[in-house]
Amino acid sequence: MSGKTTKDSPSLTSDLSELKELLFKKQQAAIEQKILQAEEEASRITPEKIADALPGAFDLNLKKNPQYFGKKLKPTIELAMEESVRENPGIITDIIFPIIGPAIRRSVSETFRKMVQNTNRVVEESMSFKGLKWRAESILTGKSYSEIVLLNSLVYRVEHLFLVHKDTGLLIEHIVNPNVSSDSVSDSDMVSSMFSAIQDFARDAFQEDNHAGIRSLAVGETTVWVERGPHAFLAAVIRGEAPSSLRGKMQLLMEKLHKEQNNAMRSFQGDLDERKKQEIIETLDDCFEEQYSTEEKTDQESKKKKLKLVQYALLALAIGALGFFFWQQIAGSRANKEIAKKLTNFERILAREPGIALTSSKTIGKPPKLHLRGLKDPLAANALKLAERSGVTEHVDMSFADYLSADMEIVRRRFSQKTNPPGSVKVFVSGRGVLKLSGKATRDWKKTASAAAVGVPGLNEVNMSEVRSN
Amino acid sequence: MKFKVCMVGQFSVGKTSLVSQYVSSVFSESYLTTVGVKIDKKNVTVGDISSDLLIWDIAGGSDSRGMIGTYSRGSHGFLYVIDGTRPSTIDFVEETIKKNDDAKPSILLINKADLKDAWQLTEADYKRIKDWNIPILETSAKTGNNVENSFSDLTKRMVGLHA
Repeated sequence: MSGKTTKDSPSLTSDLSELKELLFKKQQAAIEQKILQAEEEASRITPEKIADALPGAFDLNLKKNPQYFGKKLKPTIELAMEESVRENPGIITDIIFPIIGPAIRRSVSETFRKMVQNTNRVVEESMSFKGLKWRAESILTGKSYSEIVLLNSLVYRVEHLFLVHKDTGLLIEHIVNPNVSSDSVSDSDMVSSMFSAIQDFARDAFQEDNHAGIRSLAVGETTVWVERGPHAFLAAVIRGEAPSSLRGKMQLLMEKLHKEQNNAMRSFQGDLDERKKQEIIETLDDCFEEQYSTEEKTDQESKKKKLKLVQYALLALAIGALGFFFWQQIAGSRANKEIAKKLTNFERILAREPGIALTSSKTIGKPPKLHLRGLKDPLAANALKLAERSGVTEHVDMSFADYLSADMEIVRRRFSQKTNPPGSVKVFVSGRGVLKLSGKATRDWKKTASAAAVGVPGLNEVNMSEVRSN
Repeated sequence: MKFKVCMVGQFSVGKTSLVSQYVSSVFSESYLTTVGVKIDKKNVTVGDISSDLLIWDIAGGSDSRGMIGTYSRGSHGFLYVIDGTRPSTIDFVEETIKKNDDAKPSILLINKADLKDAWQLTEADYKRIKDWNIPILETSAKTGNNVENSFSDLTKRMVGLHA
């Protein structure tokens, strides 16, 4: 070979290729095959390679453009969740159970707070905040206001708590309020199993789905409230009327239990280790409540009551005094009227009385007093006695001057006084100035009487024609 | 330990009587059909393990709504009951066994052993029930024959499984 330069290498390359082909002809194909395979292998995207690269790829994307990345992932995640819920909703329910309660409660609480604020502004002058809050709660829940008041102030006591495994109906734990006898429940295992069976029976009877269940039962004075979780339900036996806040507490408790004891409850097969039991008991203990609506307010209310009593007493006194006064007035007025009536009657009697001539009459004052002035024959009736008979003695003031009355009755009396007729003689007035006698008398008396009749004022004639002599 | 045990079988095979005999040692000739489910409890000691059995006596009847499945959810063991005098009661149990979990301890009780003379089970019936591969005991709620054994055996098997 001559010292050819690399510029002449095309022919060298061609010679080398030819040599290569001659030497490695057989292996060439195999080598080329291997190289091809290796290249293919290297270019293939395997799950293992993706698995290794994926977390890093996610991190990179999240850092680079999180919004865009989230947007791209969204349809896939939505599809996956939709599929999961369709196939087995329990999985998603289990996952979100511990958080769904707080989320709902927060939303309701916020709505409630805004409502209360708005309403509070309008009626602040006329209502207490508590009454307003209850009114708002009444609007939110659709219950009547009186029902809300009752719910918030009545007496109740949580006496038993049963935590029951949902699938088997077996009792996980039962605790009793320390203030209650443990004999008040016959057998907690039986109670929990029967309760579970009743729930199944009710669901079947009313063809409800598996998520439905009895939320409360009432037996006599006892109510049983039930709160369900994915793996267990909590039954609280309550005596009295518990406020709705207790149910909220039970819900919180179930969320806490499912969060802290989820595995233990899911895999419960009739027995729990002591440590877990103790943890559950400590959690359940929070639910024991008893409230007496008068306990906290006794002092204030009794003071208010006392004050009210005093006020009522004073009012009663005032009314009594006023009433007495008016009664007195009315009674006095009635008495005065009565007296006035009697006085009028008395005056009439006096006026008709023979031998009495009234010249003036005046009734004045309260009680009324009758002032009478007039003339009175000595043989007229005693005016004071007449007043006594009429019951007006202390209400009359009488003054009479003496006079000789020409009234025939007085004349008759005058004649009788002067002549003293025997009992067998009757004396009548037969006309003006005329007396008529009848009966039996001695001649002597007749003679004396005739003579005496002459001197009797007002008497003109005495008719003795009907007096027989004896 | 606590175990949920379900009594399954058609109506009038003697499920309630078996439970009554086991729990209260009482047998009554009168028949009152169970509505829904009736639950009893008995404590049983197997070896040195004391267990509470919650016995769910499920009403026998048409299972069109799958109530047996609902009530027996979570059971640790089953006692299937047929009536030796009524071979037709085998069908009900067979149907239930097919739906249930094979892994759960089960025993088949052929009840009314006190009326063995009136039994109408044929060779074919015996073969059929043996094909289920579960232990079989002949029991009598009236005399108490094998009643205690049924529950004890089942409990042993349940304890063994959960030990």
